Amino acid sequence: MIKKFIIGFVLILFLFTLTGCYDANTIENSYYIVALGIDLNEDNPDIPYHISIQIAKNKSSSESGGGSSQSSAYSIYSVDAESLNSGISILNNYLDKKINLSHCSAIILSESLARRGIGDILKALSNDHEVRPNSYILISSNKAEDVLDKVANSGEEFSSRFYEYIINSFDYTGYSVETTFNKILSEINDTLGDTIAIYTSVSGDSIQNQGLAIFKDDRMVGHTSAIDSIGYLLLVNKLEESNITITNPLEDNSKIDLEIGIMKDCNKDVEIINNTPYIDIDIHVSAHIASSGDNFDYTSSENIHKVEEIAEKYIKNLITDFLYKISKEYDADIFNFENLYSTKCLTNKELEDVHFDKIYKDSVFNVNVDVSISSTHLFEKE
Amino acid sequence: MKNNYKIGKTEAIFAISIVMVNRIILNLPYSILENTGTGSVINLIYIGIIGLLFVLLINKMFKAFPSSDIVDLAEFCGGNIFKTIIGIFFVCLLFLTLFSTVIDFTNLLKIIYFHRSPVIFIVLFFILALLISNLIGLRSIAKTISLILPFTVISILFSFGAVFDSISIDSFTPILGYGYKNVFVNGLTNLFSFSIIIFFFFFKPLLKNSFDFSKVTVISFIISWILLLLTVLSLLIAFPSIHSSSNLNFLYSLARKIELGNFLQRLDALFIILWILCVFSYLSIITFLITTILKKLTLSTERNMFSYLVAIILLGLSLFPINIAEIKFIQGTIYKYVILSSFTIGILVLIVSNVKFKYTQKVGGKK
Repeated sequence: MIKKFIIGFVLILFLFTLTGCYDANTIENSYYIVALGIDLNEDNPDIPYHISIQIAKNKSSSESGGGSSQSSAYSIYSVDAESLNSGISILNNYLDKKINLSHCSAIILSESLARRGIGDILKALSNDHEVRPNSYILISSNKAEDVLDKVANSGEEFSSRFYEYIINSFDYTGYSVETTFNKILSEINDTLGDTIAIYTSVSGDSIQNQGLAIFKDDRMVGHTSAIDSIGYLLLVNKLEESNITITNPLEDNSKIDLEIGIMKDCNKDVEIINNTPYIDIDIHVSAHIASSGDNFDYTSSENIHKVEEIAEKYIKNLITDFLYKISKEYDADIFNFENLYSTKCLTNKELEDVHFDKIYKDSVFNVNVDVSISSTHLFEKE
Repeated sequence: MKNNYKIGKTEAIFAISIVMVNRIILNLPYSILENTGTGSVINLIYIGIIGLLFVLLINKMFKAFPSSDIVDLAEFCGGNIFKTIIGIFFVCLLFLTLFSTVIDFTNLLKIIYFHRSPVIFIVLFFILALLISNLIGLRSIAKTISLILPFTVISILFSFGAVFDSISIDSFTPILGYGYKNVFVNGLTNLFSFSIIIFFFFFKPLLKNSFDFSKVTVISFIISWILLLLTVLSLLIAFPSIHSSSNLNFLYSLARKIELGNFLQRLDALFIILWILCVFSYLSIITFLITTILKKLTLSTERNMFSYLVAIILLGLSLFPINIAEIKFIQGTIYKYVILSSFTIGILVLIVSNVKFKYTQKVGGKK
């Protein structure tokens, strides 16, 4: 009985050690970063980073101004630093509260920095357990600080939503791709294959999605247009819904809008013949006619078949051009074709002997697209 | 032995399975992937079959000794001196496991959550837990494990489920990784991952019904094998170049990746709590085995004294400053070869005991 009492007493005493509040992080003593911007400091190579943070002000500090650089609900602070961690330390020293990254919804990296390499930055961020794995990564053709500034003054009450809108439109437009911190970190560390990120630029008072930033290892090597995102999403089986406009085969100077989606996952196959990768891709697309010109009879199978053929040609050209651009121009294996080829090798040595990274540039793509128009919208004849 | 030191079949299966769960938490899958790369799947099936044969062999050889563990058998084979040598060997092995687990997990916790807290606080937390549980007895440890293990297994299955969407055959190819020799010959060293086999050497006298021993060993081995295989598969899916990179703890990184829509994210925080409880239980079981061996070696009736002793020595050792390279050396190299040699020693003791048992029976029969 005494033993049980002593053990019980020790356990109860021990509970008090769990309730310490001397090092607690509460909303009052933290600054929550909404977005982190990192630029290359071109003026001083010894201090290579220009780090900017967008902080959400609480209501009271917002009303009183709070010493911010502008009058929005957000403040932006910037410092030059030798590394990301030292930059955060300098900001922590400068600000009256500790910076907390657990609500950082977007990390914006400038194109100049991305072209120099982002591996170090991503690894430093991955060591900070506050950083959310699903924070968005955006590459900006302008300075990252300018992006933060535009977003802070955009009038959007919750800046984090603004970043979400830019990226989540991939769900209904196909012009954007979901590029999260975790995804990019994992793909950059992947020895087989490269990665992509959203490419944005400041346009007027807003931020616009300009396409995909293409990475070779951890360096950005170029970018594609927003329409190429449709090709990318079709190839990775992530296209939810998108609209394409094709020429009307039945009427001159007329266009047809197709709402496309994925009917069946695409098949990819890699063969290496005489040191040249031959990559066969079969894509199955479902489509609905969203609108067309006058005098179009949707009930005619012949008409539908003609539209399907035009759509197949359009998507085939879109994807083929995109694939040749990323292979020949950028030499970036963003679809991990090397990993796909690994299914044909028994050992790593067999794969290494192929030297895929050297021959990938010479790849020949054979894209087959099958479009199936399943329905129209409300009209059967126009 | 008091009833408080005997456990049932299910409790025993859980208590042994928690060993594998802990090894998984402490980055065991990474050690396997580092050795055999994408060939790990084939290697695990291969070493799993060998491990299962080992387990069946152990069961068969323990049949003649209904309530003995490996230390009793060592005494039967070579008298007190041999018993002491084998006992000290296993105490050292279990102490190494205890020490490396505390150091490794403390280091992980400090980096993730308590980077401003002194190490001694975190170490004390574990040492007090293992001490208190051992003062109460094996049954309480086993019951706690029975409560914690299902949730921890769910967390591991959940991690697998979370990456299941991205499953693709090219995550596991080239299927033979670094080559045939690496998978089937060098890969045999991956047998160390079944360190649960060591616990089989000691569990028979702890069972309420010693006839359940073979069921307990086979079932717990299969559960452990499946868990290890699932974790290795999950890591290969989630981290395509895992074998060529390094990470403090891949299971933690995997847990960070899990998200169910926008509502359920950062499950790592929940998993860490489960893992802490799991490590508590694991340390308690190891301490219990150490005290059991020490009790047998010293012919003492007092168990609690040894529990205090283990706790104090562990506290002293844990305060010794050790860097990450040394922890990795202990976990990755020393531990691996000590485990493999303990398998060999255990099996040899069993073989000699069986030969001697049959010989004595034969001689007895003739007389």
